[in-house]
Amino acid sequence: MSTNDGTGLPPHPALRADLSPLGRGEKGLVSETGRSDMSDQRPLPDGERGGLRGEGANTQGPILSVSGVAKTFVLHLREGARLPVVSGAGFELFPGECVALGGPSGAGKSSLLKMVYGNYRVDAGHIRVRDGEETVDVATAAPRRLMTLRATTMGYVSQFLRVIPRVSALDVVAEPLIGDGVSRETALERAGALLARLNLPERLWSLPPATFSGGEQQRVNIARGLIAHRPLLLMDEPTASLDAANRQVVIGLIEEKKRAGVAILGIFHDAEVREAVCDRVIDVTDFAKVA
Amino acid sequence: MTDGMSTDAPLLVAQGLGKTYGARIGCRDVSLDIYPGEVLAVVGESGSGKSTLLGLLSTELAASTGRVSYRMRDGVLRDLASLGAAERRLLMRTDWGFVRQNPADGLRMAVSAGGNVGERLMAVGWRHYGNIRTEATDWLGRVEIAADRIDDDPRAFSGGMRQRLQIARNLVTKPRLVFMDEPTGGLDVSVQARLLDLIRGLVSELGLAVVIVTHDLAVARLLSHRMVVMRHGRVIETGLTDQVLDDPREPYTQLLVSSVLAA
Repeated sequence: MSTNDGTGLPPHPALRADLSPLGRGEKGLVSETGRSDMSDQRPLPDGERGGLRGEGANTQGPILSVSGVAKTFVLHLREGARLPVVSGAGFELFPGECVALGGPSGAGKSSLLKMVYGNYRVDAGHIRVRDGEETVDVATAAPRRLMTLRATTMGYVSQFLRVIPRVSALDVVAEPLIGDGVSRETALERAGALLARLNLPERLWSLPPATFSGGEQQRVNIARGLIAHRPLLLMDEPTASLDAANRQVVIGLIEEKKRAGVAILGIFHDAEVREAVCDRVIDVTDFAKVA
Repeated sequence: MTDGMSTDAPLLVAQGLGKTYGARIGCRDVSLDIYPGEVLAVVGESGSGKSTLLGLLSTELAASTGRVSYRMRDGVLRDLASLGAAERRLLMRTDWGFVRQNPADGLRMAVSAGGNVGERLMAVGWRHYGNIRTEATDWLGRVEIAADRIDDDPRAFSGGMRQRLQIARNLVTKPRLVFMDEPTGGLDVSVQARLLDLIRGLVSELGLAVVIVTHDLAVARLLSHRMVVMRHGRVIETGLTDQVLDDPREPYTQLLVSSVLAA
C-alpha cells in the first residue's frame, strides 16, 4: 500500500550508535507557540549537525499544522462534569525538527499529542497533516483515512508497551515493517539490529515482553515505534524508564530520524534528552483552558 | 487487497437495517460499510442487538427494513435479497465464513476433523481425496492441531481445539469476509490468548475482512480497526477502536469502558 521502502533507519552507518555530544547548549530552548515564522530554524532534510539551522531549509512547508484546537472531556458518569483540556491550540511542525510540548503535569501535553494522532477526538479546530500530495485534517478525517495516515505517515511511540500475549519481542518490533511490505526475514533482521543497539539482551528477543522490566519494555516499544519510516513521529516520554546509557542510544536514534527529515513532536521530561534533541519547546499552558 | 480489488470499495454495505420481533426491536436503522482487510468490532452488552445485527449482515435473519449489499468476486455490488437461495448458500460456503461462539454450532461433531475442513473444499469443487487431505492437514497445522488428530472427531477435542478447528473449517476456502460471534467466549483465559493470537495472525496474513461481535473490549482492542457500539438495537457510537476506547463520548460507552476491570 505504501511506496516507501520501509527503511526506518539509514542502513549501515545507522547501526553504530552516535554517542558524540551534539553541543546543543548554545541554542537555548525558547518557549513559543510556534505561530511565528520559523524558517530559520528548519534544518535541511538531510540534516545539518550541531544545531546549525541553515538558510535554504526545505520549502515544503509544515508537515503538521494545528490551529484553533479545543477539547473538553465530558464525564457523563460524574453528572456531566466538564474537564477542559486545551483551547485555541495552534502551532506548526516542520520536517527535520524536533519540538517538545512543555508545561506542568496536567497542562494537556499528552492529550494534545493524542489528539494529533487521532486517538482523542477534538471539539473544534484543525490538525492538518501532510500526507504525500494530500493534506489530511485529523480533526475531521474518516476513521479509514486515519488508518492509512497512521500506516504510512504518522507514528506514535507511547509511554508504555501494550503487551500482546504470545507475541515475541522481535515480532512486536518487526510488525510495522512487515505492514510496510518488507519481507519477514529482513524485518526480523532489522528488528534484531535495533534491539541490539538498544542493549536488549538477545536471550529476551524470542520471549513475549509481558514479563520484561519497565525499561526493557520501553526499549521494545521505542524500537517498534522507530523501526519503520514515518515522516511524522509523536513521542510520549520515550526515555522515562531508561538508564543513562540507553538514553544516549535513544538520543542517537532521534538525531538520525531528524537527519532523515522526520518531524518529531514529543513530551520529554528528561532535561538531558530534551536539550540534546529538541529545537524548541511549545508551552502548552499558552493554550488557555476555557471551560 | 486480493483479486486486484481496490480497498477503497466497500465489500459489504448495510443501509437502514432493522429487525423487529413482534413488538420487540432487535435492531434498528443500522448503516455501515465493511472494507476489504478490515476488522470491525461490534460491542455492547447482552441484548443490545449485536448478534441480531450479525444475523442480518450474514442474511441468516431476514431484515424487517433496509438492505445488505455485497461486492461479489466479479466486482459488482449486489443486493443480497436479490440472490437466489442457492446463490446465497454458495456465497456462505465459499466467500464467507461464520465462526460461532459454540463450536458445536459451526462444526459437524460426528465428522472427523479432516472431514470438517475437507467438506468446505468439496463445496468449492475439490474432488481429489489426496489433495483435500493434504490441504486439510496443512490447515490443521496452521491452527495448531497435530496432524495425527485428523481422523478424530471434534467430540474428542477440548473447547479451544474445537474453536481452532472451526476457524480452519471457515478459512480453508479463503473467504473474503468472516463473521465471528464471540469466538473466545466461554474459553479459559490462556486458551483465549492462543486463539486471539491465531486469529490476529491469520486475519492479517490473509487480508480478511471480519465483523466480530464481542462483549469483551480487550478482544475488540486486540483484533479490530474500527468499532461500533450498540445499545437498545441502535448504533450509538462509531470510530477507530482506540478512539472509542480511549475517548468514549456517549454516556453508555463511557460506562462500558469504565466498567472493565484492569487486570
